[in-house]
Amino acid sequence: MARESRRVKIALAGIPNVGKSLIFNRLTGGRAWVGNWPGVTVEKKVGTLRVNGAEIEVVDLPGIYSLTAYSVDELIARNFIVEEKPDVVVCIVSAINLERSLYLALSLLELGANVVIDLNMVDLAEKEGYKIDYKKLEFLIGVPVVPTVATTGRGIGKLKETIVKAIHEKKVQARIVDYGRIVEEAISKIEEVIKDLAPELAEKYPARWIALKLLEGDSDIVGKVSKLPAGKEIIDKANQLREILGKKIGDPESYIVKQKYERVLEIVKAVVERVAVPRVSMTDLLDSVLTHKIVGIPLALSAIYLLFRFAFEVSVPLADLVDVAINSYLHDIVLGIHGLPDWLTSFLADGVIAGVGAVLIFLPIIAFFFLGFAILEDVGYMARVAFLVDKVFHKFNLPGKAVIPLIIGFGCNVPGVMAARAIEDENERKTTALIAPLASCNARLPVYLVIGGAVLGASAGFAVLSLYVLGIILALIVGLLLRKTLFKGASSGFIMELPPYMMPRFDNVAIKTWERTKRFLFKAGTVIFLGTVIVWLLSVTGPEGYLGPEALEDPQLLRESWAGILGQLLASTVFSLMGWDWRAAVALFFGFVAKEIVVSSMAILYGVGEEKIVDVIAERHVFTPLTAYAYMAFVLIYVPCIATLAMVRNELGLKYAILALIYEVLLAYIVSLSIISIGSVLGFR
Amino acid sequence: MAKVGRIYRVVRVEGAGLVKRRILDLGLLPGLEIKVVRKAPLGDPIEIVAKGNPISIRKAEAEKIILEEVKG
Amino acid sequence: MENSKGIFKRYIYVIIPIEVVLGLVYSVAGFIAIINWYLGTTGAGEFLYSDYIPGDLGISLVMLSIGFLMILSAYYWFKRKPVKSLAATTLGLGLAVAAMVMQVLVIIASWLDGIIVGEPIAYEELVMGFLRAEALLGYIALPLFYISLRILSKITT
Ligand SMILES: Nc1nc2c(ncn2[C@@H]2O[C@H](COP(=O)(O)OP(=O)(O)O)[C@@H](O)[C@H]2O)c(=O)[nH]1
Repeated sequence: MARESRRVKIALAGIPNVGKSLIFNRLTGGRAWVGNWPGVTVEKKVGTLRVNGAEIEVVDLPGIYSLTAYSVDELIARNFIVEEKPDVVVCIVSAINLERSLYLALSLLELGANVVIDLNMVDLAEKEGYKIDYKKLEFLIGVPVVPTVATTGRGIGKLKETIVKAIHEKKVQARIVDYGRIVEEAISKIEEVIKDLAPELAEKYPARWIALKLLEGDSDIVGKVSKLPAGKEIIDKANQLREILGKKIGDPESYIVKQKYERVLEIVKAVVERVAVPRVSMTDLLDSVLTHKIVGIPLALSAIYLLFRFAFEVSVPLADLVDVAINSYLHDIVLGIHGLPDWLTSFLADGVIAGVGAVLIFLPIIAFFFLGFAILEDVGYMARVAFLVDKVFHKFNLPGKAVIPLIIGFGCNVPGVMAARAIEDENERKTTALIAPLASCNARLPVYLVIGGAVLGASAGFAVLSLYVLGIILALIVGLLLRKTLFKGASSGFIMELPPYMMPRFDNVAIKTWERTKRFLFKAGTVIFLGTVIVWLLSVTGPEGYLGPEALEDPQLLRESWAGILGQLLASTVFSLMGWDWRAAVALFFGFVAKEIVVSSMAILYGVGEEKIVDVIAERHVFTPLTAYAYMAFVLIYVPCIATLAMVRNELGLKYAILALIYEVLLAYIVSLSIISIGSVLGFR
Repeated sequence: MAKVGRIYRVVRVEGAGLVKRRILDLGLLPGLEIKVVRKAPLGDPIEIVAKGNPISIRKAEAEKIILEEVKG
Repeated sequence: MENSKGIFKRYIYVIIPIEVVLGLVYSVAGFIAIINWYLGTTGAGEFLYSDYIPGDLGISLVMLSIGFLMILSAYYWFKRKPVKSLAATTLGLGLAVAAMVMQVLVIIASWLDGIIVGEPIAYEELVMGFLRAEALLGYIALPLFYISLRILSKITT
């Protein structure tokens, strides 16, 4: 027990769609700490596995195909294995995608990891008509293999046992692949040089692995080696050998991959037995319709429409329940407490409780949305949606997967920004996170409906529709601009496996929904809450000092508050060209907290109840149709809410949150102004 | 350019960096037979099936895979 | 594949004919929903069949997609691609069922909401909700969906 202070740590690795998240949940009981890997926006999940009273830390590595330096995810995985030295790396291998997943397993073995293989989805392999001799597999690669079915839990007990055993019996199989005489000779030569000149390196990494990577020309390893005192000598030697190899076998990198795959195929051939003729594949069949050239895209839109219906309409009773409980019940309780100073009552009732309410009322919609989305995702459909629209996004230097944050963004921008992390390339991921807020979220709709309904009359429907389209177009254009300036770099392309369709799993869906909802609550909740309190503060105080809670109901008083003064300042300066009323400008300011506040604060500012606001706007001619449309566009584009900005900060850092704030406000200003000027030239008013 | 429904053999993989390596890591290696299954409704990307599961790939990247048609 | 032939018989004689009719009805309903949407946003006139068909672009898209899939499946059938035909059928019926379930959920939700908010519940309106086109047609689609899914899972992995 020399290392008592150090917790036993294991890592989970696997190619995408092998069932890794399900295995993670099975091992840890579903409870996880979710955050980012340092310095990047790649999700890191850590949980605890409890067996026989021992506590083992389980780290979920990103889903990867290989361990190269080309992709951030792969670098993260290999650096973790080398630097943190997990006691065991559980490599999850899919029985229905054996070649590709074994290829990764061999790569992990070469890195010197203490591997346990989890042969998952054996039920599906049986259904497809083949059997895998896992004992033989174990024999051939020299590390334990445990067959499992993650969905039912079959084999999980055995997996835990095997992990515990493997912690104490390290098995290293770094020589699992024989690259043939020519390459092996080169490898040994480099290995010798490394052991002689850089023993410290050979302690951290297996020397054979370094040698291989130098032959492949791996940029990360070449960089690390060059920094060593003896670096130049090693690199020179490697380059010399690379050149000699190149003449004999062509590009060393391709050759090495090919040799490794040949080893994989050898193993697969030895362990897989076909026991039944293959039948028509359900996945291929469904794809022939779901990605059909005419109906494919309408089907995707239909699915998304039903998802929104589920999120927005079916969640209504829950949202109202929260509303009633907080804004009436709790609110009244606080008002009923006697003996509190006036300002405190108002602070609690109009600040704190309104703030809590603003967060919680949103929660049912978000949760329902995540639920519906998780089902579509678990079935495997979201990958097809990305496939369908990829071409459009490609034109704007974005991957098809960028459509998913935008779709989610139509519900709420906060999880939209969050969803960008599913994109592999760092540049594309950052760009997508920055443009996701341009999707017109659910909270903006009431603003459009109120103003459009009051001013635009018959064309309100088209106007609202056009704003949704405008949001998407702007997102794509801004995306292209960002990709041409800040986030340059070749497109990572769109090479991905299309996962087989599966029946959605209740526990999988439930856990995903819960994790995401929880995250929304903690990350967005605190910010919305604080924002509401600040708005309250700015409304009940002014240059004269404390105005009293009456300011929230009395438009004359509100005019004297900081918020009112700011609005008037805005209306008379930057917004003077737009022709908006100062009250509309103040409402925009309140809208920073959350867009739906725009309507309620307009109601307060015009001194009417929310149900009358449409009439008031119509009767008092607050807007002309043109200024109304410009205002709606402004609401669409300028910062969606501080919670979204907070999420951008969380994902990309403060710098980019500020960038988002600036570009959105500027863009909103430019677009609204263009609408007004072009509109008036065209003769609209 | 490869046609939907036809079977091809990989001759070699060109290009560089992540794209090339990803193609190789997915096992699309010289000598392997692949089938072009379908195109996306807008014409790009395309879906190909080699060993195991289907892969979707943009035409621009698929062009890096040099193919020869397998006479059926 | 012998006994899958037997299974297919039911498919040909029962599902295909009903489906073609259903597909046409869905398509017509989808068109009317677009017209109603247009009438609704421009205020140009009264809704057509307003009790059954809402003026909603989204639902019209869903109904048109369902209709198209059902007709596509008949087309595949005549092109002697029975398996593809079955796939189109199953997905069309599946979407029809999903649209129906969603409508029912929405009705239940508005009923619960009425209770929570404490407003008088317009029962008549709720009941009419069950008769909306996508719900009504969905009830017919449900058993057919079950059958076609069974056949599909028998002949595929
Ligand atoms: N039938 C079956 N399905 C599985 C099994 N393991 C995972 N799945 C399903 O495969 C899909 C992908 O699983 P997930 O855990 O999200 O994969 P990940 O991408 O590796 O994290 C989900 O729909 C799972 O329900 C298994 O052993 N048997």
